[in-house]
Amino acid sequence: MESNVEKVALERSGREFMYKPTEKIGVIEVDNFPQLGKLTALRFLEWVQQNPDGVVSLPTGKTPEHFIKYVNKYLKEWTAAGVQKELQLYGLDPAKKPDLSNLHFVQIDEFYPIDPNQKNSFYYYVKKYYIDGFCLDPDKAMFMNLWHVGVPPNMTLKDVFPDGVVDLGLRNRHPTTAQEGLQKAVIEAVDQYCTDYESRIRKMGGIGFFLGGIGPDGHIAFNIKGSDHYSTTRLTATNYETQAAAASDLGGIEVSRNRLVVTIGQQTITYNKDVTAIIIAAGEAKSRIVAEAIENEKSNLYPATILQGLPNARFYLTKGAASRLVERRFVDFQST
Amino acid sequence: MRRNGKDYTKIPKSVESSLDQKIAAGLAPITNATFMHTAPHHDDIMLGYLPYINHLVRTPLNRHYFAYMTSGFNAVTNYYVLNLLENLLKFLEKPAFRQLLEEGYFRGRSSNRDWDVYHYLDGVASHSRTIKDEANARRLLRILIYLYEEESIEHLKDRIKELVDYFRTQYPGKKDLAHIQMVKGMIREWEADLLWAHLGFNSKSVKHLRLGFYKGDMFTEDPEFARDVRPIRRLMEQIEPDVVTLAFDPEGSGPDTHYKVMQAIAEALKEYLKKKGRKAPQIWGYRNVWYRFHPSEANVFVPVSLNSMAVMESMFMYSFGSQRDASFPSYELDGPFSRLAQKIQADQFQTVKTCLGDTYFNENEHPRLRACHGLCFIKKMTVPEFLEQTTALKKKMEANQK
Repeated sequence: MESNVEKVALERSGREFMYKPTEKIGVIEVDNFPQLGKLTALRFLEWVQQNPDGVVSLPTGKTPEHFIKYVNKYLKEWTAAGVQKELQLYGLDPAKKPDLSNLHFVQIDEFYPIDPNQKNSFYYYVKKYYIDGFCLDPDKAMFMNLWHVGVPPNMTLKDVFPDGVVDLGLRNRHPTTAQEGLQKAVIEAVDQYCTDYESRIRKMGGIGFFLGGIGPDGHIAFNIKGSDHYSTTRLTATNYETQAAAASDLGGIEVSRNRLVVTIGQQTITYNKDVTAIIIAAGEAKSRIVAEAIENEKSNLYPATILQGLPNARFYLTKGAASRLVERRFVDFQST
Repeated sequence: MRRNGKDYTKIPKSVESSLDQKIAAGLAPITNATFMHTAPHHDDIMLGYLPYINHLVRTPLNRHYFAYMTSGFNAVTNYYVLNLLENLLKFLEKPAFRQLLEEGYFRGRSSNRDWDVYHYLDGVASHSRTIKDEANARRLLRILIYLYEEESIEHLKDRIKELVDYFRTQYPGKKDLAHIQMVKGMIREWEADLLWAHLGFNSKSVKHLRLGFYKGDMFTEDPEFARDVRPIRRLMEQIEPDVVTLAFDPEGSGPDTHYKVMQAIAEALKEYLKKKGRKAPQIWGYRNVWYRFHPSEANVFVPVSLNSMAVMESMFMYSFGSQRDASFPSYELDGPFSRLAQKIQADQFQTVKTCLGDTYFNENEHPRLRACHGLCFIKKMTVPEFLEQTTALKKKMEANQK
């Protein structure tokens, strides 16, 4: 393990990094949700110190709340005595405040269709919390803004898909109306956009630092249960679990049921074999899906198993989220 | 156990004994107690331990107060409010409804707030959609009169039309304006009023605290003393509870409102107990559809009969109109939360039954255990036990905010 932050956190947890052979990805446990954000923030800043012009992908939603707060806190108070002490404790170089403006940012996913100006779009989120919040350079960022992709001038995506429903069957059939013809052309343009997006990521050497949550069906990015491990950036449908989880973002499952997504693929994440890929999960509710991702052999049913074998892939978990990892339970049982 | 090589032959007996004690604790009657049931959202208490409450309310010697900490407006869809507004516009044209206005039904007497509730439950009893719709219209009009400080029917109609226009044009999921949040929040409060009226509790017992940290932002603010803690402490001073219940999430990993409310209650308790002579209440931690106890964490298992499950389903569906269509469901079950709560109770029962054996339940002398098909898990704690867990988390969270 090359990360000082991880070494310190692991030592504090009193656990081993990986209980082989049952566990196939390394795990670092923390006590609670805020601690999860703190560890992740420190590891991110450590990585940026070492890779100031690297390629990063950061998550959306509520899970990164404390990650965002801690990164902002450390950057704002870098020279404060308390922060300096903490940085030293975790093995970061306190003299070297990370400069995030040279990072290349890659947006992970987005609903489709959605107006990027809506406050519940992921585009809005990453602009607010990462580009503006972390002072990243927008010119070095790749955004998933699909509002005008393939859409004729003087029209918006809302004109093309008035009820928000996109029939991906149009990829494979002839349109029956002029509106469907327009929709088919837009879908084809989005498909091309996704391929180009993937190419641009690969030209940069892939993603260097990937931070993501894990969905209720095990999804990472929007690569839902059953996704191909060789998947790339694409426009795709979601499953019930993902729609339920997205309902609060979109104002109800009635909306999220009909919404597609654009997502980077699993191979997009693993293209760079040296990627520092961290999945964060908090709470007992995530424990089953976490255990399935860490303990199962690679399988399409468990999207995060794609991270197995990557030397810098990790799960950062609260104790609740780690509670179904069988070897750790055994250790706890032995100590009672 | 084979790997460990130790003698674990005594473990099954000790597990059985522990489970038996937890079930006995769930069966033990409680009398002469004052309960302050608290919840972050309006369905948290009922989804967490309604089957327990069904027994606790049977003796009039117990006193119950239900305190809702947030107004829960995030869980009300624009579409639902739009339907309620259109329903109200329809009733405003009816002579009988206008007569209520002229008679001052919506003015002055605060007890009329409860009359809306009784009217709705009369509609439930007689399977009358008309009566339920009228009661919904009464309460929504009461909400609008309160919010707009306006009683002119013509002016109110203009307001209603503005609202209809708002809900027709906003994209779903957008953060609402403050007064729209109030409308949605008060609709959820109405639903909680309906819920506890099923058991005979009125507005004297159901308190809506609307803590200010809950604003509908992506990241909820942390509770502040004057804004969020003091109202809870004041309520404790009024009630002087023997038992305070709360959604218990010490890891801070469930819905963030849950652990923020837990922190606010912890602070309020500390303040409340500063005054000499006050008796420390017992703390009951509960969990429901988002986060659940491992059997070893809980120390009280309440048996749940099919009757209790039916009551929960019925009370949920009749009371929580905004949640009936499950617009914000769990990823575990495509349906209303009452169904998921029942599934969790049934799963918990099966886990315990696996340990204790079929005979324990099927041939038990206690009829409640023979009728048991589900279990609610509760963790009862002393105040110091509770504070020990919340203080550690709070320190870490405070360090985060600095």
